[in-house]
Amino acid sequence: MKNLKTIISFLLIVLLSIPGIIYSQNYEQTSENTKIRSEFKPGWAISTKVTTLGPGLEIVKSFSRTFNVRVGGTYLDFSVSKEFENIKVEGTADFDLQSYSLLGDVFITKNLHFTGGLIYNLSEEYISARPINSFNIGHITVGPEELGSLSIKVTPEKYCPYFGIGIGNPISYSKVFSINMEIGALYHGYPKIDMEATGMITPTASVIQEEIIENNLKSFNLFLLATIQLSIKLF
Amino acid sequence: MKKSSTLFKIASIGFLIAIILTIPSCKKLTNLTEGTKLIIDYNLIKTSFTIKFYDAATGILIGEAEDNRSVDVTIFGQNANDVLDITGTQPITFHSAEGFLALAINPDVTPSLTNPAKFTIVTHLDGYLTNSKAITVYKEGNYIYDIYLVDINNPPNGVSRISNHSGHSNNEGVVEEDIIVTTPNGMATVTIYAGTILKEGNGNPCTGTITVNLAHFSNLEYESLLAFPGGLETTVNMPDGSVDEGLFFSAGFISLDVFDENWSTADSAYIHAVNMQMFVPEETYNSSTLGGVADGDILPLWSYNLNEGTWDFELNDTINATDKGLFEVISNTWHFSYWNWDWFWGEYCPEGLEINFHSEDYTCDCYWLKATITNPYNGAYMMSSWFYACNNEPVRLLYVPAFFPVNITFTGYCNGLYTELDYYYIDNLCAADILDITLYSETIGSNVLFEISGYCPNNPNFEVRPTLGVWFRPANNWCWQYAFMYNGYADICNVILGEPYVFGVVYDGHWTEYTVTPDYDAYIYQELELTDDICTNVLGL
Repeated sequence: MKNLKTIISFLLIVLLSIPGIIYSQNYEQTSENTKIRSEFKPGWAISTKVTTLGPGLEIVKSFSRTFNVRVGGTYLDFSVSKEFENIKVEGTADFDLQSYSLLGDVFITKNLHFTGGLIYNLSEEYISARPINSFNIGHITVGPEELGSLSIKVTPEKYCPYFGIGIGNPISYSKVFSINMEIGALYHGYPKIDMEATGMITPTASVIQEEIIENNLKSFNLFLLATIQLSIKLF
Repeated sequence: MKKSSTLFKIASIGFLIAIILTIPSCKKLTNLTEGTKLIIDYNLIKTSFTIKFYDAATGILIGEAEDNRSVDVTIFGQNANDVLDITGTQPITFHSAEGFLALAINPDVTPSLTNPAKFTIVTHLDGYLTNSKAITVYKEGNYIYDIYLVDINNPPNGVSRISNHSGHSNNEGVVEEDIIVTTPNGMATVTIYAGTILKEGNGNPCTGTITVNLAHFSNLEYESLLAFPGGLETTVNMPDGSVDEGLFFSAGFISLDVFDENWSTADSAYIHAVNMQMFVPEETYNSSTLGGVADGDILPLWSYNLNEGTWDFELNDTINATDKGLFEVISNTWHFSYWNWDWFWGEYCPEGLEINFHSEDYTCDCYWLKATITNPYNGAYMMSSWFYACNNEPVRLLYVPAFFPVNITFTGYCNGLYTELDYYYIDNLCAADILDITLYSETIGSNVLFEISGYCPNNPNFEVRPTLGVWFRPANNWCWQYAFMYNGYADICNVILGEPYVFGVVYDGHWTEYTVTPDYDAYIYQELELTDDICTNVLGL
């Protein structure tokens, strides 16, 4: 875990220090190339994106050729159900994905950039299981409701640092449309587990059990965030 | 170019770090529930019955300590098919363990006043007289019953028994000389006349040496009435085919078993009836005349249905006064059974009068108490009933005789409780009155939380929180007290901390006990290894 923190700290330092370096370098380049390149004008763009946290919208503000700031959000609510006939149980996974982001792009070439920032992650995942048939326990028939159901809610930490690398630009300097693709890792800390159970399996949802699952999830603290983004330059 | 190359390298490293860190996280997800357990509350049972089987002479639980005997129990009656072990199994024959048996009613059946649950427990144990207990409950709950069994070779006070081997019959089952057998106390005599043909139930003749086992149960002695086969609260089959519940006022009871030299049991007599004569003590109470027994009183005779634990009405006999100042009754029979001369009292109420227990020095909030009801006329035992009483919460005795005066005694057993009066006289147990009883406690113990989790050795990821009765006693005496465990927790009251106690649970004919010294944290945790039968056949593991 120490290694991980060290790596993230390093990457963040690198990320934060790059804009200045790059900008100063680019500024010199820009000056030299003034004659052959059009003059940069900071602009605004709006974009739609599809991410592994769901689809969303973003507002992009370019400050220089090498630095953008993006503010946006994503939302996706969907569920998947499956009946496991062999054990007569219906399993459901509900994904309530919602996030708000404040990101900065730092371009190291014309179309290659690092992106870093903070994501306010309100995503939650619910995994539930309930019996679909009555069961016989000895000579006693137990109905599905009496047997009960179990649900587990996985909640990551809300404030998540993000670091990624992308190809393209969410705001074009010369065209109306632009495309950006990005892949990165979202550090969401140690997810919190909340269990709820009804019926006979009520005691399964104990604090001790929650702690065991939280412990099992401790190494799952990064989320792979992939993004494809289409932007329209506003002005 | 060099700059781009460096930056590209940095980017690549960043990208790789992101991927590498994420991949192992995904792998770990497959073990999300590693180390967790499926824990269930096994609380399906709404109505349970704990039966304790005692030796009537010694008062010791049958099967206790080094005694490994187990009482076999079969169930008959209206709800026989709904009677289960506390775990939900339904064997053909139930078996006690350590003297305890835990039964239940299938939760699909909800007993009510209009539709009570009724069944009869019939016991079988080698060397003991068969006994039975008719049980009727009209509401869900936990019930305790005591059944006293008579050891043939060590009968209790008031039971006089003889085994006679003097008779002989030929190959056709014809008795060659009169067989006259009288109990040692002289109260009962049976005569099988010469020429009588004795046959088994399948029609085969009883041949060779004839053994007659005859026992007389006193209708006044407490121990013999406790062990009265079928109990005095009973179910009877009337001549018109109707089934009735009520209470016997006994004039006496004899058990008559006849065997041939192969120990085949004689079922019936032919050619001549078997003559039975029994003396009736003058202190006997005749409930049909509401007074003492008298010459010329009509006395019904009942025979015992060994298989179903019910009594069948046979005929009405007449009591005669003898020249010795005693009363006697004489009857003839063509079949062998338990024979019982009793007046039947069918006036009952499902809920008796309210009893309000209260005490200022209550050690526990609630107690299991036993009410013992006796006849004020002659002090004869009539019935007893366990019930759960809480401070200032009125309780009612269930299924008690109506319109009949009784004396009632309350005992807490083992928990040091006593009442202000030794007994309370009640005119009518079914009256709409409230009886206030002040309880006093000799011992002041502490409350202990006793927790049990059950597990199956073949599946450590499964845990059961049981709901069943817990028995406990100080390690240095055998006086068991009862508490009820719900979802793995039992609040056990009146325990002396720092003293060793034995805690036990019974299920599926299996007894598990723990010897523990409750510490000052007043908490005990134990694991219960469930039997293979329960793990496999009940829980399906």
